[in-house]
Amino acid sequence: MTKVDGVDVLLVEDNELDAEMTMRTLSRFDTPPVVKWARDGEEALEFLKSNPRPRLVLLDLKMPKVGGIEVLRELRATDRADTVPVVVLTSSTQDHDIGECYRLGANGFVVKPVNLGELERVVHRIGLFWLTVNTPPE
Amino acid sequence: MTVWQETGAALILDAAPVAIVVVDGAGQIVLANAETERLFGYSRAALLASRVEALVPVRFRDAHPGLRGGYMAAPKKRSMGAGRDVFGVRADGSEVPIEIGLNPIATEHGTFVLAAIVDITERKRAEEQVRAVNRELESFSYSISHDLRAPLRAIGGFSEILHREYAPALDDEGRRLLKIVQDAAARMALLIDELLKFTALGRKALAKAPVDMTALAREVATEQLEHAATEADLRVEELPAAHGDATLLRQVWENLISNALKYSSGRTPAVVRVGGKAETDQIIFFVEDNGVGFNMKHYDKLFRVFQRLHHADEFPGTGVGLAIVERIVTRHGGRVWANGALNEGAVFSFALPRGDSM
Repeated sequence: MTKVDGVDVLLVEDNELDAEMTMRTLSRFDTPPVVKWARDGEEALEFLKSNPRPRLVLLDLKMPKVGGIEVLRELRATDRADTVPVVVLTSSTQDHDIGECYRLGANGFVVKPVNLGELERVVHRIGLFWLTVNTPPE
Repeated sequence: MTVWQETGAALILDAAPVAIVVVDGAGQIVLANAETERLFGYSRAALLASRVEALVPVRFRDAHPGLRGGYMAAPKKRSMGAGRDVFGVRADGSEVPIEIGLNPIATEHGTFVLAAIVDITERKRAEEQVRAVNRELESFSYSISHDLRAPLRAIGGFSEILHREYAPALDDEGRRLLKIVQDAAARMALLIDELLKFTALGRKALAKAPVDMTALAREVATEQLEHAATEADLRVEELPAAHGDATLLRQVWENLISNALKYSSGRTPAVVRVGGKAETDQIIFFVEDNGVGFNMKHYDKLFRVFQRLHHADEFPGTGVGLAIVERIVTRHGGRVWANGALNEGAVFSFALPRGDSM
């Protein structure tokens, strides 16, 4: 995998259309973040292994091969990424245990709205909070 | 007693599809019919030489004489082990789920107990099947509605992007067609969300506690009035307290009160009354309005999912609200019903059993 310098957001999402909508929204920020899209957990973990830490991980839960829960667990167990902010961005509250996500170290749990306008607002707020307002961990 | 009566009684006893055992005060079996032999696999001679404990599984056997003694001290007709599973043990050691009815028989030789024992293996199996089918159906409708959200988000999202970025490139007809796609996607999203809400109800455990229904209904009424597009004369009388899941009962009030406001919104004034009363074994609540009502001919559709009695352009809605009400009330062990006439208003009522804590 090629090294990417200074990725702001690692988007881990298997659904191509969901990913496109999220990335479109991120690209419309006043200061658009550099986004790396990983199509599943395996790709995300590969990326994290060989690249500088992103400032934010947006993580889907239900993915083929390596799911979001496993990504979260692995990520928190590695020195390089144990403090990177992770916001779970999932399709449903009911497939997964929200409490478990937080226990594993998620910093947020957001259900993807069906409506595009709402999705944009949600992504915008997440971006504003984690990329602008917050001081990222060193 | 005539010969017929004597042999007839024995014939009837042995023809009965129920195992019948008579036990004396010491627990000794003094009579057993043919079905008892079949069900437990003992000969009648063996049964008549045994105490009734021989038919009780080993793990309950020690406690049984005490229970039997307790029954003999105050014998009355009742079923045994009501509310929990009762098992018998056969001669070969296998267990069988049973239901037992106990009847004391007072004679000059003392009190005997007649136990009528029914093999409920088949019923248990059928119940388990129904439960399994229900679980499957719930998870099916859940995953259907859940998996539909992703493509729907794409339809809605990308048609919105198309609208924002390419609307000027389309002519009026193109824009009209695009709007149809968007509206339909939005409606489908609403339906799916409601369906998810409905299926989630079957999965959630009830958190029962005493509920101040007056406060709850008044709170909901105030909120609903703020949201209502039109004015209404909405009054909540003093209501009896209930025992149930406050979050779910709140949902019941929300659905019933918002319905009443919606269907009476064309009246001046729109009048909505919320009331209730306590009876010996149940408490009854109602929401009455002077709105468009409904034809009792369509009553059977009223509480079914996605069934509506009005067109969506007349009164918006998805047809899930009353199904949710029905489900919540039923899960509380209660029932719902309604009365109405076209253009003459409607009364929706529900009854809840009186909880032990009241």
